[in-house]
Amino acid sequence: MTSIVMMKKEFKEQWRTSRTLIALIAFLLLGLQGPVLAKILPDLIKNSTGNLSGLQITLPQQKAVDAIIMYFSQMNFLPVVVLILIGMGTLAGERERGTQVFVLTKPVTRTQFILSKYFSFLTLVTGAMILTTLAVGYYTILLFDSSFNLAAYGLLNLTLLSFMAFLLAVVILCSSLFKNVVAAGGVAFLAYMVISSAVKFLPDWPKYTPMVVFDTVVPRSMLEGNTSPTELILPFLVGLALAAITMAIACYTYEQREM
Amino acid sequence: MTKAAISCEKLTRRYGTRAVVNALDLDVPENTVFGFLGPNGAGKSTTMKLLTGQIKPTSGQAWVAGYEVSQKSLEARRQIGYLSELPNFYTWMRGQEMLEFVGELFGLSPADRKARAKELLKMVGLSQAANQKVGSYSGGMRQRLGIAQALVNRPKVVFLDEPVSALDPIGRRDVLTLLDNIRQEATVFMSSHVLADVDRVCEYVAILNAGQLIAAGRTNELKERYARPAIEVDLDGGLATAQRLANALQGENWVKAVLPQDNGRLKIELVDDKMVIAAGQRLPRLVTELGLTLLTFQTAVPNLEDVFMQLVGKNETVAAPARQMEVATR
Repeated sequence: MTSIVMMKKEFKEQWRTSRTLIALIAFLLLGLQGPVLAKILPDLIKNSTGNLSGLQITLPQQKAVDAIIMYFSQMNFLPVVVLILIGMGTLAGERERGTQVFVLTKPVTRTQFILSKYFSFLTLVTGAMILTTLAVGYYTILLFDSSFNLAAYGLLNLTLLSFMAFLLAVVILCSSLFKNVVAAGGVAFLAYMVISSAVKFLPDWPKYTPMVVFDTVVPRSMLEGNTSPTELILPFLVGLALAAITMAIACYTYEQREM
Repeated sequence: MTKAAISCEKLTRRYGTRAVVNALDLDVPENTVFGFLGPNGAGKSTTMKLLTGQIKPTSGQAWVAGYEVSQKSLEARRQIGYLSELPNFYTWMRGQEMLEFVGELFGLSPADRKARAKELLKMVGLSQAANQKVGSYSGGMRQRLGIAQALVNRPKVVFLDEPVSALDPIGRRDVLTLLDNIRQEATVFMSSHVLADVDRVCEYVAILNAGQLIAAGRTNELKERYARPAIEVDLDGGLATAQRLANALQGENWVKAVLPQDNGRLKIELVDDKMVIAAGQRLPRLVTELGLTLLTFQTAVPNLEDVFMQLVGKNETVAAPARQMEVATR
């Protein structure tokens, strides 16, 4: 019951402080860049090199699959920054402003407090991802054609969501560790950079990490129907497991911290 | 379950090697307004944090409304209301909405929490601002809202850390009257630097210094036990005249200390209460010898500030400290 009350409060806060709108618009616009850029890129290159004699850049004919690959690569940076920006103050900001004392001296456990924040943000990100997935799929078909495996597209987005769930847990963990919002955000961004770089040193990382969606080979093969999209189940589950472990650490450290 | 509303047994909180609260033993009777006093850094706020489950004790135990605060923190928090020293609330919420949110956290039905929020807003004089965002409230309004939110669940124990610090004189009077009224249904545990306010509403007080309890009991008993016997005199001629008399009193063996007051009065602490007669005989003569005119001469009514100064020391920071002039040490 208390968790539901806290979740309701979080949703209200997200709406009143425009975080809902910012997240939805940012994800949507940044996601749509994929198909739009794929469509106009050949013309852009042609026009920008038109006057340079002797220089000729030839791009292969862009297809629906290229547009989707470009969409996933777009989702690897700016939406992540948006996620960090909207999530970094969730606990650090409450501590900084002194509002956590107001709530935590009521019958609310710290675990309820932190999980209500996590799941409300996760709901927001899920909503933004669903909207973006539908819009990008629609525009890809509109601008190109439907020559891509829809199931693979859906599962790739689900895997991306599991990566976002993990990243959000990292942001919440950082926010629980720091009193200062900027420090929490800075460390969360650093953690993201380290994770995204380090993961590529792991052998066969696309087989079991949710960051497979940012790879160019495996998703293309799935979208073209050459590889079964069921291979995404393990990366998807790994993403969820990492999110759960990170949140367990966040809950534990938050329980131990002084108010 | 204990009968006291609040009970502490050797409650200790250390930061490193420093004991901020040191082996505190304290019982707060039910349905009383209890004043928790001490100079800055005495450990008052830390004790409040320990009792409201914000921090955990290094050792010792505490019970609030019958629940041990470390083991049964959630149950204890269901029974309390708390206002921090610097209350901060969600600025995007409206006053009424915030109190309803608190009611919801305590499991009140929608109708009950709406009615309770309205009742409390009226009680603290914020009915007109019920639909304003908390972010637009002044410091005094936030303090009033803070008191209201601490009462939403009809708590058995209310913890108020400096509840009147941001209020104007009228607001202060209203809140003190409110505290006086709620003792029928709750125990109020408040800290304040304004000793006159504590003196007015608190039946019991405890004084903490450097993390240790140095006195606790009924306010009147403490005043009787610790306040020094004193007389107050008022002279015609103001501060300069008062200073002349203060200088002349330095040679008198019945005088312990002379405390010039801001209004030009002199408070003269006596060596012991038997010296009141000596003072009554000697002082008018001394005034006449100096060619001054005595307007009033009365026995000083002991107050909590006297007790505080006596126990905590003369160099601590308290609100409106009296300027003190030691004239003799015997």
